[in-house]
Amino acid sequence: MRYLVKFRYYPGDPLQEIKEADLRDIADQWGLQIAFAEVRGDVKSGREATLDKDLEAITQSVITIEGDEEPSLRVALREIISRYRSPRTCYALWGSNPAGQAIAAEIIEEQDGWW
Amino acid sequence: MKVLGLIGSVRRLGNSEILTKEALMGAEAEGATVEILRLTDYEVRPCRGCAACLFREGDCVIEDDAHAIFAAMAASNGIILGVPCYILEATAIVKQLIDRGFAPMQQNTVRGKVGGVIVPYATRGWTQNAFQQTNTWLLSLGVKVIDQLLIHVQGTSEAPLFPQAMERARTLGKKVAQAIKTGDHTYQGEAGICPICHDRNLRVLQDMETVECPVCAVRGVLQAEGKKIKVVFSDEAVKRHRWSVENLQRHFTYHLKPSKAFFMKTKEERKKMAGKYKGYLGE
Repeated sequence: MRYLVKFRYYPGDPLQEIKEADLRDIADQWGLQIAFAEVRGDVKSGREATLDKDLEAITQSVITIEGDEEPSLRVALREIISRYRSPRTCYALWGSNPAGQAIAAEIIEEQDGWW
Repeated sequence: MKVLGLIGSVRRLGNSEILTKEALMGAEAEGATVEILRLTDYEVRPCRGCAACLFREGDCVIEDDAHAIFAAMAASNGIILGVPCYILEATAIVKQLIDRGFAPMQQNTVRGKVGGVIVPYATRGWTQNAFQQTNTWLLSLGVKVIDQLLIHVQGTSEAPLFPQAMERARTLGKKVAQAIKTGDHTYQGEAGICPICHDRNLRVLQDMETVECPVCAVRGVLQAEGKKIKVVFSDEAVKRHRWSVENLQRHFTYHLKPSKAFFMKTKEERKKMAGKYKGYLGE
């Protein structure tokens, strides 16, 4: 089974700066592929207009995790959440595949639930 | 310098009103002009979650007296809220105004005012969430709460029988007026736990390592010092509290407003799917 999880963090969401090197360490340790992308929205005079914009187009940091092994995916997701906390919005897993989304939702609840 | 008293009690001349009036007298003695509104005399309908204030970036579309209440707050320099705590929390009018405060919260029309809070209550141990309500309302609007009092008094209008309680209320009013005059908005109330709202409530997070102020979302850790517990908040965590202009702005900009496009895009699909529930067990 192939698992694909996307975590979309918006400005202020991660508890610390997301560093690609840290993600790479997690990926290497657990035999996963991790990619990191920074999306820059339309910021004018320090403010971004996000009304009527596609959710994927506004400023955000996107962590993409891929792998074939569920246990290692679970551990990696736990590490990411304990470092940055889970993403905040109900659209934050957009782009994940159904298998990955199900696991991610479970880990988010387990580690970052009920708050 | 204008100080506005807000009463969150239905009872006329009850303890909330008496204590708030005593506080206003204290503010008056410091040179303030004072005004009072009995919140429950006004029609304040519930927020209906239509998000018009958010998606149209304008005022609340509900036509009722909440607008006048927020306008009076915006026109004052200081706000003293007197509200009873009957069962653990402040009365319902405060919650109603928390939700209806969503537009002024975005517009920052009340931000920067000086605030004081007086909560009369009857029984020790039945007030745990009283300041959560008052702080959520005032801090979300950007009011700088400089003091908050729990006043132990039971029967209606009994407060004047307790001179110390009256003195505390009067002093709070004076402090609010002085803070307006000097521009020093430092918190002067009883030291609590949260560095922002100064309440003593903490939520233990699922990781069983982190604690968080449920109102301000400031996260910290517990440390043992002998038999005592110490709550440690890093400077970085304090800066992340949810009520700063920047953090609220981020919340509106990145968590809420972007949902509009998806909401509009899925209109027909939502309507179709909701059809199953329309008429089930009544309209």
